Amino acid sequence: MKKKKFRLLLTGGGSGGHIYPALAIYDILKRHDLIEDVLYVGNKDKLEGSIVPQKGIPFYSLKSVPFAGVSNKRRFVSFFLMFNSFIKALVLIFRFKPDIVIATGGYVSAPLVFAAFFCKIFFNIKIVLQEQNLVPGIFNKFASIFTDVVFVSFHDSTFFLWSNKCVYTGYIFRSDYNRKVNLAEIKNKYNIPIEKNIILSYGGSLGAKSINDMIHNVYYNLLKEDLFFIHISGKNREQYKPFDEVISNFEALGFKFSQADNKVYYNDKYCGLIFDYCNELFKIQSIADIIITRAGAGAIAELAFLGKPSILIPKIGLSGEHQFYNAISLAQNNAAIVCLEKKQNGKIVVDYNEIVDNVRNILTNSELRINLKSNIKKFYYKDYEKKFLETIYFLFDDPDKIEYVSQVIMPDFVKYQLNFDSLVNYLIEIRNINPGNVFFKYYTDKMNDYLNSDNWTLQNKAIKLAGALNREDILQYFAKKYDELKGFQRRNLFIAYSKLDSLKEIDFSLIKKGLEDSYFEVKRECLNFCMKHIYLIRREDFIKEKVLYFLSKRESFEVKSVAIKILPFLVSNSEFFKIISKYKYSSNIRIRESILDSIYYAYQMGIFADLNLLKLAVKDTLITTSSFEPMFKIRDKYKRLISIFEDI
Amino acid sequence: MIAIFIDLLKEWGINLGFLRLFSYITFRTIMAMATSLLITLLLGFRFIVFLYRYRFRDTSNIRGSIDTSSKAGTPTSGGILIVLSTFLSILLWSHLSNIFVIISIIALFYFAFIGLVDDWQKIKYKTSLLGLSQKMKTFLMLIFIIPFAIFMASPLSPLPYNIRTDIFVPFYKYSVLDMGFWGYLIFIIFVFFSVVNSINITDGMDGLLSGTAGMTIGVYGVFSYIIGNRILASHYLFYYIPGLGEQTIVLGAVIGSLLGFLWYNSYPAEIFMGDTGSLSIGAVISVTLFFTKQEFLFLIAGAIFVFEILSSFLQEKVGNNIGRRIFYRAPIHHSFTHRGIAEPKTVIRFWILALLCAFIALITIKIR
Repeated sequence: MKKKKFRLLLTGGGSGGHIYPALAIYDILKRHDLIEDVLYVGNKDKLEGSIVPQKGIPFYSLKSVPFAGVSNKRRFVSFFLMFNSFIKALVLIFRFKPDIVIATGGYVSAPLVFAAFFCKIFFNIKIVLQEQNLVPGIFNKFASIFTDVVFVSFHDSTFFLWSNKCVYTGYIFRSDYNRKVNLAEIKNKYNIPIEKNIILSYGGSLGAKSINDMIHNVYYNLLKEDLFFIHISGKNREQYKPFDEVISNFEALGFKFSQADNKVYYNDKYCGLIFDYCNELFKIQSIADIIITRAGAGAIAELAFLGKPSILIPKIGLSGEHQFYNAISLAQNNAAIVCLEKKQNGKIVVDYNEIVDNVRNILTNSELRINLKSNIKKFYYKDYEKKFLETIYFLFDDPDKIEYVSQVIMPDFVKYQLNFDSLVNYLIEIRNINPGNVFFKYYTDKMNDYLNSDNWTLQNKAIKLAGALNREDILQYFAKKYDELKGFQRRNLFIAYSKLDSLKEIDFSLIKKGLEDSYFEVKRECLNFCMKHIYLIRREDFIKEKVLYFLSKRESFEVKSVAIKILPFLVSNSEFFKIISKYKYSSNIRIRESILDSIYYAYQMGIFADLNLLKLAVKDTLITTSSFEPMFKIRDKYKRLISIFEDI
Repeated sequence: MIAIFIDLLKEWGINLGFLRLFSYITFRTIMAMATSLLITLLLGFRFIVFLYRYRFRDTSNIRGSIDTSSKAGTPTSGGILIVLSTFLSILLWSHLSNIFVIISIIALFYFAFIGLVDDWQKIKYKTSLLGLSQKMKTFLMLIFIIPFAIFMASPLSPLPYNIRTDIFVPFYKYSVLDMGFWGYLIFIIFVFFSVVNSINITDGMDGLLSGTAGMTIGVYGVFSYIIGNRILASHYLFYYIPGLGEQTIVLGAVIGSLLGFLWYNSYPAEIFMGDTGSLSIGAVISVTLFFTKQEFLFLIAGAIFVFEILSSFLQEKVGNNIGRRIFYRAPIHHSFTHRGIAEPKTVIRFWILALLCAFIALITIKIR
């Protein structure tokens, strides 16, 4: 590899999540003496305006505005501002003449990437994008088309990016993360008792409101456990003063705070520390035993590096819900515990009892603690620096050698979100195996949201979810207002009822309503529900009457075929054969199929006394080759081979 | 191309007797059909391999998820082959200076492009749910449809002046209504859009669209031959439209390539046409409706497509609003498989129905 010095243009900003990776990249390149000249492009009013100049990097301010998630009117204005920034970025690139542009996301990098792409006509500029999150924002998705390489922190990110040129490097750390830390020294510095378990909570670089709002309750409830806590609230700003609020919250519960050394006392006992901002976050992280934090990509990478058991609180309402997806991918691998924010009366809150329970659980259950530690370690990729440098070299020398991520697989959570019915099936699958699953919690909240909405399609989804989540109370609520429901809702109500694990009591008036419904799918599902609980309802005369009525009148074949299946349980054998003989030569294949099904089930249950008659009835059924399920041999053989090779 | 070559020969003073054959539209139509059929048959398998290797596969290209009873993973976007073979055949056998031919070729390629973008999106995101959005698709289609409608309704139109904005219905000789410029413009936009969409949604089973569209195109081929021929037009009491005969060659070429495609597309399909094919076929049919002035004949000749889009519209727009299903499944061909009739059987039944509709449509030539 021949060494070369670059003129580097760095960009990215808005929040710490985008700035720190950019600085980390700068550190790596600087350490290997690859930088001829550098310029950081950001918005001077935002966080990067204060952090970057401190590090001694030349800074250029470029105004940029959010584009997604604003009103159409604002978007129109944004478009012109964006265009203005684009022209400025063009001028900047012509003057600075960079060899490589590295963007880490955020609105400010958008005009620069487009301008750089435009300038490719004139100079040889390489454009590199670094994506920290599992699910990229809309800008990064779009911008990835224009880039030469995209560095991703998760393998699954490649599915979402529109570019095929992804390289997996893992999260790129700030250089101080590689230092060894003397734990005792730090504990001494803050006079922390050595034998106590330390629990650390902090938000992102700006502080996290929902964590700040409830953290005093968590630590108050945990006083019995004799823990030592450290909380980092975020700096006071004009709009929001987190530090002052947190202090007043703690003082309201009887804690005493000393402004001089940030120490907190309860009953004159030294029990914790509260900072507004901490320059030694890494050192404090390394002494902590449990960490409560946001699920930003940076935070997760830090946790993975340290291998700490953690409780993650993903921020909701972000673009693309990227924190939620980051958290889910960890929770699915049992690498962290996830607690979700909820909207209550317009405020975003976290249930502190849940967090207290989880902390107690981690402290007492050593097996869980070890599992969390070892699983989260798997998210740390050690050779990120080597891979990153190697790719940068190859980019200039020999682009064919770059090791792109080749296999693109749809992540599980996307698969289930695409189709609501497959989601419902998945929830039913996991509800017995792992009831504490994040999906379970998330969709319980979702269901409550749907319940409160006026839109009937959303309420319909709530019914489906109630069935999947085993919530009989909600179904009963819908059953009470059965007459107001639309056709699909009535149908799904019965489907949901049949998906419940156990039923307290059977609502016969509901079944009656369902059987008298005008919509054929409701009748079908109602009969399916009766079929499931056949031994509880077979004595009811009105069901038998109704089934016979369905079979004697003109009716949808869907209803008729279910009615035939349920028939042997309701009527005597001779009556059954009499009715069946009418349908043996039906032109509809599904009805004929259902006769065979019904005889099979009834035989298994031992309903029939005379087997000879049964044999005759079966032998007489019209069998044609109307319907078939295809089986493609070559696919079968291919699948067989692939499954063998995958085991190797 | 061949027509131009013969004209050149004539200019040079070479006038061979048998070359007269090439000036007959019937002969050239059959040759165009044979050419495109041959091209699709010869290139078909290589093209399938090409699509497979370049990952143009239906909805799923994840190795592990191959299902022995589903067709996901079959090469898609076979419409490219249809469009290319049709184009080559038109190039060879028709007069390229003819305005009808030029518009047909533009429509063919533009709609194939829209379909290709849609297919590509589906392949890229590995799911049929994330194709082009309905809004975007409509917008892209309107880019062609609106200029076309203005062209056909304005004095630029290649149709005779007196029937330009008139409406003709089957079983009746004279025009029933003169819609005027604006009326006809809106009529064209509406009809074009619904015809293209109806043909697009019919593409859902192996060989369903190739067969049924072939028959509808055949009917329109006969009509454009008659209307484009002065003697036949006056005999059957149609308004003569000069130059329309060339459109027969275009339609012949499309039928040929559809037959060739059906060779590979019949159950179980080795290749799907994707939106690339269905949209471009729809575009050719819809431009022909307006060239022949037989817009309402589509209700008979393309009754299957009309029924498909009606069922789909009712199920989606009306059914979703009142909150219940109106058909068992929509579009209507899925309703048949839901009843337990096997897919190949459903397809062949649809062909029979399409043939029936085609015969009824052809009767309207005589009964007027």
